[in-house]
Amino acid sequence: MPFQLSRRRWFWLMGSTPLLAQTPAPVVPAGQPSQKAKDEVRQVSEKLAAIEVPMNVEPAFRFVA
Amino acid sequence: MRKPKFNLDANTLAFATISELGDLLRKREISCVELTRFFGERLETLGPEYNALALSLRKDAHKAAKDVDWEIKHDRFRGPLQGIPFAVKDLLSVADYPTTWGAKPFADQVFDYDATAVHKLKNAKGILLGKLAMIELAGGGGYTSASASLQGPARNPWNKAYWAGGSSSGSGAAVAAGLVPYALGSETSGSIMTPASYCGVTGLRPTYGLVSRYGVMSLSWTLDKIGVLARSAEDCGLVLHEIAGADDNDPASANKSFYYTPQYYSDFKELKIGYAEIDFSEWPEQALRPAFAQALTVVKTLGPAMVESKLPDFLYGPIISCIIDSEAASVFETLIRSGRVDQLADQGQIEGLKASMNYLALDYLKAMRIRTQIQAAFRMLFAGIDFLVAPTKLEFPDKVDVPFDETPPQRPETKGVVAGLVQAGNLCGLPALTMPCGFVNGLPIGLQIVGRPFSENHILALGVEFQKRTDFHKQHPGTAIT
Repeated sequence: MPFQLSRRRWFWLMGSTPLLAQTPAPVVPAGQPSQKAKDEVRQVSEKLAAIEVPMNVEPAFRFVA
Repeated sequence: MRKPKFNLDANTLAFATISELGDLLRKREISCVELTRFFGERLETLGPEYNALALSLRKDAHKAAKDVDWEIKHDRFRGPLQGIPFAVKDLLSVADYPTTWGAKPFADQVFDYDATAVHKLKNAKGILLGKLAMIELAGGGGYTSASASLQGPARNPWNKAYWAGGSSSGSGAAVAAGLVPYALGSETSGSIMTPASYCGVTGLRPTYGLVSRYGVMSLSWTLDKIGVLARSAEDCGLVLHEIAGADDNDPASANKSFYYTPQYYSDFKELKIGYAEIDFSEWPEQALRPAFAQALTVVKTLGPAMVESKLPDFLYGPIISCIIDSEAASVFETLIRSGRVDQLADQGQIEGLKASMNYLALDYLKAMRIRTQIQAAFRMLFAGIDFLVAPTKLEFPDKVDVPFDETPPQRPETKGVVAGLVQAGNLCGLPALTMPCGFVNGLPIGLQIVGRPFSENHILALGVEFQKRTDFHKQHPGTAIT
């Protein structure tokens, strides 16, 4: 079956190529943190995730135009 | 060490308040050059004994002191801080001198401008004597021992086997040991309150935004504050009067001034003070409880309505950790990614800063949204009371030569005010004052007063009254040079 490229896919590919080219290579920290340090962050994340906040509560900082 | 020429007892001078020193200068019982030499020698001689000194600036101080003597000779009086020596935590920049942030990766860092707070004190003709040791990067990442500093573990002037507290370690130790009359420190979450309490000095954490952070190391933009460690509540007020105020260079500036006018806040019988009996009777380490109970009795004698209170129920610890760590990860991203973070002294901090890169935007935003709820809950709480009063620290300081004990202490299940008050107060940007309120086994303990935003005059007035009825703030360790 011949390879067919839809117009949408073609434009997506064309449009995204420069973006892909600009994306910096992922930077890995020089050394990885210990498992204990990672676990502490994960535990804080889990505790925060368990708290429900109403959608109209905005973060405690203001953007000023 | 040279014997001073003036006819004053060295101990009296070393532990005098700003007002007392100012009187001596204005009455010409001592010159500013003599006063600067006296404190400069103490700072250089005793500072290293406590690992409190980061950098002596005596040469510049001498020049500034000569200027002040000329002014006083010509009856040009500029205000209560004129001619009074001071020092600052080494996270405030002083033009053309190293500002190390207490950390090896920044040991050679030099800025070409003064931090706004330093600039204001110099303008008030204060005499900058030096820069003081601190926990590296103000503790960003979470440190595991007192040794997390370029200068080594800060020793407590009351007992050198114990830690001075952090992260404004040198500021606490230097004021307590009579090396400077007052010092600037900073607080993100406890970094003024802890060393002030452990070292037995009076510490003021101003409302977020009241004092400019321009020229100051950032750890957490939405939490960092500059404050004062001094001999008394009155001294804290005099210094805040000069360093507070709007600053276009600080995006968080509240654009408010502060005029120290405690005389307008003297009717303590009208006050409602929130507290929890359990904070004094069960939460502190056993040995400290009688002294805290005595301090609470003194507060009650001022005549306010005492209102049994409880902090709103939030997970203050994880919330403030997430905010500090996420903001610190961004502040120190280059340090962490470059691997220079490995040059820090404390392995726990190295690991903590690296791990803080793992927080998600979702975590940070959740924490900041809960912070909005915490602020709302505190507005409700302060609708019914004027202040919260609680012990500042619940335990003795750690020993300097052992890692911090990470075992959670046995605490009562019922919570009052003290559990989470430092974190909550910082999350809400509330002002707080800690004052020495007793001694146990030769070490000082502290009492904290927390109030509504911008209620510094009221808090300080209460502090001044407490210090009129006690003399804990007048005690000092045996460090005098004779």
